[in-house]
Amino acid sequence: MDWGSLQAVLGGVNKHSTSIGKIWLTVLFIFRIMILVVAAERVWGDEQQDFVCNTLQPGCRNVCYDHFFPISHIRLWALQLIFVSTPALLVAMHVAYTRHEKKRRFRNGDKIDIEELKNEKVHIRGPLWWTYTSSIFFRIVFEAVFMYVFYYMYDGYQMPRLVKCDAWPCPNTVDCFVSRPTEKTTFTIFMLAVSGICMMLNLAELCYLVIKICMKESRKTT
Amino acid sequence: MDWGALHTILGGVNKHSTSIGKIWLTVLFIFRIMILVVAAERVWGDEQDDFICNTLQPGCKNVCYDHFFPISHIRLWALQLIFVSTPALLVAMHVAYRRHEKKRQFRKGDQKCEYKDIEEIRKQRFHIEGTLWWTYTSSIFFRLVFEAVFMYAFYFMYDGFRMPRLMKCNAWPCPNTVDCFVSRPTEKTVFTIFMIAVSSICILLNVAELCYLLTKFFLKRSKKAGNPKHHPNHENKEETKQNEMNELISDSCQNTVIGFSS
Repeated sequence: MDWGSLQAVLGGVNKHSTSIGKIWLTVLFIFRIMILVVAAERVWGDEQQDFVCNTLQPGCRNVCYDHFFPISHIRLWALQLIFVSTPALLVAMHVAYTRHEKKRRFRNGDKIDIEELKNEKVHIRGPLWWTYTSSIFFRIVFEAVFMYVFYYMYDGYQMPRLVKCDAWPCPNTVDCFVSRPTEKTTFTIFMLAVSGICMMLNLAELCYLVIKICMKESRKTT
Repeated sequence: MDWGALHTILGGVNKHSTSIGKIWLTVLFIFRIMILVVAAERVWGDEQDDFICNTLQPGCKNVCYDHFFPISHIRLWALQLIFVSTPALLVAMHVAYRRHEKKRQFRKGDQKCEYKDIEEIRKQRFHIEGTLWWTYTSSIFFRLVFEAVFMYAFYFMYDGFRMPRLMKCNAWPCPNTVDCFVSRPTEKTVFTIFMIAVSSICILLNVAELCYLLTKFFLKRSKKAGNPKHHPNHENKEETKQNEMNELISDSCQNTVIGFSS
């Protein structure tokens, strides 16, 4: 069970998304998950091995590393991507439930058009509109929460070259040097930028859905 | 044989589960197995290499690590996930057995068997009633037991769910008492708490599913007690309706073909 399986699961949701939703999914997989797996994990791969402190005191390096990096960027991004992807499963479950209900009504003898049953695409209206809109809303919330968590935990998005540590058992204050700070800053800013783009796509999709429903309502009244 | 293979095996069980069972399976795969593979294994990857003790005594680090981490969290989680997933296989085996019986009846040319061909038997979805209900309910019960046992084992083995930064070790051959420092304690605590939380959510889902099945069972029983005459024909009625549905679909297909040709 890895990123490939997640892609298989979410690929099915793609069928029932709007065009903006499909673009969002593509951006998610290519510019975030793929970059994470192919590049970012190598950059952070030696983060603790090459975190060097100017001391011979055993345990000082461990403690300082733990103090300055409570949760590694890579794990935060992995959690962010999983949480941001899962609201789409609400939509998949709703579609599966709708299909199941149609088949059950058909079995009970209600007159349901067989073509409609066999038709793969389900239109986003009625309760499905609400499920879809809630999923986009949750996506936006999760993105914002994780972006804030990053900012709060690391005091901004820049990776410092040097951190000064005085946690026990380090003697007095010790200089510790981070491995590949510039490369890490570059990737952090890149992932942040793509996060921002994904948020904007989600907002655009939300606006599109809301406008569509308002226009439908106004047509019904006139 | 890895997590992907388990995913394939359990995916088949999904068809015969209740809605809560399907949600449970999704939570299991995405929030537990995937998190384990994609994140947790990296966090614990350097657990022994970066377990550092303040001593030059050879063998002391090994002994202290072994003393404080008899079984690594990662291995315990892997065992937990395997044990928790396997009761679902009881259901899969029961369904396979039923299918086998129906195929045998079909092949014998039994008049009672109402299927048109073997493909129908293979595709049929079994409802959770009769002996399958008992198998399904037992599988949920075993899942709950395994989850609870592993959560207790974690709590017992590591004195709670928090990973300490420092451990004081005095096992031989360490001289007197030695300070040993754990690698990435905060990140490990975060992931331990996350996995415990998702475990609890899975337990709640299983309890909800068990209550749902029991409620359904008692409601059916009270309906039977109210209308005893209708009960014997119930199962036959379901299968007859399914055959009618299949006939309707095949008829409609024929009509479509005829429509196109004319």
